[in-house]
Amino acid sequence: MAIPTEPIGSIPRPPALVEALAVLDGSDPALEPLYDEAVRDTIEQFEATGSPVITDGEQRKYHNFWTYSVQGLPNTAPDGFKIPFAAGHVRRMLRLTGGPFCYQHRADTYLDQAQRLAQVPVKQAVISPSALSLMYPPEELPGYPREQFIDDLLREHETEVRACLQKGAHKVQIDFTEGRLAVKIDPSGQLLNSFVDLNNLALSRFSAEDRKRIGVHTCPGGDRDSTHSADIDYAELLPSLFALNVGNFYIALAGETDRTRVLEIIRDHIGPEHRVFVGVVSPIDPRVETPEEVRDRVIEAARYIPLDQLGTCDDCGFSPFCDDISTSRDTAFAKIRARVQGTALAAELLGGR
Amino acid sequence: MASDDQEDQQLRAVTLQNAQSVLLARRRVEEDLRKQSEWLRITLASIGDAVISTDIEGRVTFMNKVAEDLTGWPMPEALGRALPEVFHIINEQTRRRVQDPAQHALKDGSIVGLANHTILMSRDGTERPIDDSAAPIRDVGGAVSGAVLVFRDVMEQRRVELEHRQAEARYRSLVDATAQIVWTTDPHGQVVEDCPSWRAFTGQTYEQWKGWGWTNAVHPDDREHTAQVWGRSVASKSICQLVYRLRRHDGEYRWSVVRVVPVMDVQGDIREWVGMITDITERKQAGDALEESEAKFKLLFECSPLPKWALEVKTLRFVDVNEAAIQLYGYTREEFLQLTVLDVRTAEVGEALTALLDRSARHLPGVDACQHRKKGGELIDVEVHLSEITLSQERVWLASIIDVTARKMTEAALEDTARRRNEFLAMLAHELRNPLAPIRNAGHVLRLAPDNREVVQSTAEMVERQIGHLVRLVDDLLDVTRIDRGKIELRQERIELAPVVTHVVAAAQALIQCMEHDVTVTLPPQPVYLYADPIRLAQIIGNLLNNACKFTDKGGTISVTVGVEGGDSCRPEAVVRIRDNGVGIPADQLRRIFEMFTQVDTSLERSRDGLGIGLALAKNLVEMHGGTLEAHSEGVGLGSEFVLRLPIPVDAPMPLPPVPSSTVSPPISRTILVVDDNRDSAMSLATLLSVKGHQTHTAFNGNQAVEAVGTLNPDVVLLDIGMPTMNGYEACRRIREAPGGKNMLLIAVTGWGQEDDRDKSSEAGFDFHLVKPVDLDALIRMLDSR
Repeated sequence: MAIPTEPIGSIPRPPALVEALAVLDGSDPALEPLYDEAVRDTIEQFEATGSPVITDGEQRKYHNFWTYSVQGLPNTAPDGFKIPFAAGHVRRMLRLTGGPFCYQHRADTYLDQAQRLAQVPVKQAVISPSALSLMYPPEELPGYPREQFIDDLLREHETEVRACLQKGAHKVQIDFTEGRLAVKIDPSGQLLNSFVDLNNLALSRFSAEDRKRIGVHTCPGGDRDSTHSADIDYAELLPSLFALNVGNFYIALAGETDRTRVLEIIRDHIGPEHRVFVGVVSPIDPRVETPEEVRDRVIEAARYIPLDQLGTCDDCGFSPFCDDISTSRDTAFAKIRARVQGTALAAELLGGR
Repeated sequence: MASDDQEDQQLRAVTLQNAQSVLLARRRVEEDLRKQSEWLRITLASIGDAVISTDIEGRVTFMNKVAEDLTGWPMPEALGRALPEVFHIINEQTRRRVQDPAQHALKDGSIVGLANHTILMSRDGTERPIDDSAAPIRDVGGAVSGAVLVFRDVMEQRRVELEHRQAEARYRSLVDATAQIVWTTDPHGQVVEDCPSWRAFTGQTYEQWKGWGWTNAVHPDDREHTAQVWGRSVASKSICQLVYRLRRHDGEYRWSVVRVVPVMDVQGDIREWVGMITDITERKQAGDALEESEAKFKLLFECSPLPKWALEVKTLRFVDVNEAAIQLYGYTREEFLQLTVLDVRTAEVGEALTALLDRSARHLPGVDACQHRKKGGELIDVEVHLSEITLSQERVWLASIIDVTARKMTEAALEDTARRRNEFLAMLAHELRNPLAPIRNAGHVLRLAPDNREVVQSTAEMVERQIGHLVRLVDDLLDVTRIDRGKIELRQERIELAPVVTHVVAAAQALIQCMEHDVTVTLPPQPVYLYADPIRLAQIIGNLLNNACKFTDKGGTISVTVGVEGGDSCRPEAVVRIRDNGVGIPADQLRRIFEMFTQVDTSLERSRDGLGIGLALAKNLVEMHGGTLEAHSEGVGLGSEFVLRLPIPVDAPMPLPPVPSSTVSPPISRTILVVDDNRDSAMSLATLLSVKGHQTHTAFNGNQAVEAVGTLNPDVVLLDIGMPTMNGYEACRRIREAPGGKNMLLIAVTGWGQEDDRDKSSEAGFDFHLVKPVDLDALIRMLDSR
């Protein structure tokens, strides 16, 4: 029995593109040839790994997985809230300065190019509504009430996801990295529940059939080989996570110190309609896992998760921020290759059982 | 870290505030869901079918009102109960309980329809036939979570189906009983069932007629068209109606009308076609005859030279008109069809139209003598002959119009002419008596005072004057007839105008003096030459002058002016103006003044002499000369002016050589035989000639004349023409043939003065032709010519 395996999303950009992005705005037309080459090379190398499902490596997402859709909006300011990483650096989000809210870029446009180049199914990652909801400042914006912002945000998110589904994305993965961060900021769980509520509002706009192709990804963050919330216990996150009305969950597991405990939590909360893709390679670990290591991690997960509900993935994107060069492209693809091969080994073993 | 804490607090604040908004949004979504749920509940409650839903265990979770009514279970009581408890059904035939379809749906996860003949037993034991079906309810994961059962009471449907079957049975009975051919086909138009009436009519066997075999009984010329029309009807599922010739069993083709209608089943699909054939041969033949008759009528109608209309009986609106009517009235056919007869007929003339139509409707002669108005407004007199006929199965008035306008005008003119002729005859009698009276008185005077020379002299002058008047009357009458017959010939010659005028004025002196008029004559300084008949010219001017004298009260002023004017064509004209200050002419009579037998205001001027022909005669004579004659007057009592214009010829003939003045020679005594059956006439003429110194003899008929010539051998014979026993012509010929007759001077003296008469005289051998009463001077000139 084949065990599905999927990437999370980002692949480090080629150095030439990274250098250009350091001096040019992400939407500068001069970058187009570099973007095109980066996508083409990424897909080529991705397919070379044998991964049955690929992404475009988020080569065109500027500046990162979180703000790509709103980058360049005139009604934003760069002084949004900060995300502190364990390594000591801080990433700063955009702040909304006035209404109305709408996306500047939609991920389905990235999907278009990738599908033209790819030979295998392509999945597409999008940012969650809960992540973007943090753009609205604490004080009410004159003439643009918060309720209107939430409505606009839900509409824009629905439009993006529906476009990806209609264009044939293998899966649409909603990045929900702020979930674990929310528990860190608010141990009472109120923040997390409000995020889940907001995301479920968005998901309620899709049919059950659509939701089978929609998933949610959670991880402790990954930037420059560092996390923002790895210290938060999954036990505080996962019960709420499984309340999200989606068919697929992409849960970082390889980097966890107590994987068994996490798997037990998953086992206790997984629903019959769910498929859980557990992370079997860790992007923030500079060492490339061997297929055998991956195989063993899959077999370990299979003890807690029914095989027909089990899948594998990377723990996180390899370069969620475009200027993150802590991991090389070769390492990323090597890790992916290990995931694919290790999952296949596990499937072979489990299927023969 | 303090900074990080602030960040976290801010983030928490943002998130919690967002959560409030999310909560509101979620409530809106929940409200929408609630509304959808309510809408679903209302929908289910509103539909005509009964609906029951169950959970996965088959327990009732919902019932709509219809389901409550049919099962007899109120929803509150039914909720949570096992479906079979609420929905109790049995087989109609076996009366045994059957499993409801919801159980199948729950078990198999498929949509299930129930077998027929199912009876629903309601809670109170009422039995109802039902149709039902069930479907599984699936959750978001696709798993079966319940079932929905839909069913309906089909009792009414069963009743309709029963009625339908009964109606069909009745229809079958009618088919069997009808005399017409009634047949059926399957939904595709194929004959699949026997039809005894078809077989009886056509003689075809069922084997021959089934399928499309029936077309073989249709006339070959109609077959293709019939098949096409029938095929189209089947394809379009619409009624088929056509006429064709159908071969009867005896081989004769009969005209038949066929009507085929689709018969629908309960579901609205075509179950079969039913056709009905009716033999219309006799009807069609009658129709053809009628059609032919109407075609002939139409041809006659259209080609008639008489204008004809067809009018709608009730509205009198034109429904058709022929070309002659269009030509007469000036309306186009389309314009006519927008009008009624009342738009054409004037109301002023003729009897009431309603009475006329009423009489015509009772087939009594209906002739409408009235006036119609043409499109341009012109009125015409018409006779409209009306009759009511049937045309194209509609009753219409047929009107034939005779335009009698010209006839009416002719009749009016004839009436006017007759009236004027009668007036003329009365006037003639009056005019003749006027001179006769003084002549008779003269006879008495002469008898009583024969020796009173002065009395005799004045009486003779009076008699001459009256006779001259009589002669003028007769001459005018004769000229009128000549002009009417075109028999007047002008003896035109180059003459000078002034002497003619002078002579005419001198000739009229007696009348002028009698009327005591002051007449002035103005002549041009230079002679004006004309190419004219001097006698006729004198007659014209004399008539005009005579008229002026008569119609001017005693002591009036009359001017006669002769001149030359430029003329219309810039050629010089001789102009004679005779102006008086007499009674004048009313403006409305100026135009008619030159008409024959016309006198101005006869009632007032009865006392004036004249026959009313003088001016007409003058105008005709003037026009024969190429001239014009006009009358002018300022009105009654303001006098008149008559203007005579005659062309002056540019290249007038050379003047005749001057007539040598005749030398006066002593009178010669001749032997003259006067012949007239009117003894007084013969005797008076003979006496007159005797007075002039001649030897005269008389004879009173032709024989006597011939005889007297033989004995007397006269120099001259004056012969009347119209005599008994031998007329003047014959006598003349005999005299000429007698010895010495050739050299005798033979003069015809007759009342006949026409050219023909003169020609006949000449042919008979007369030398001259004199018209009675004899102009003595003329006679003497003739005697002197020998």
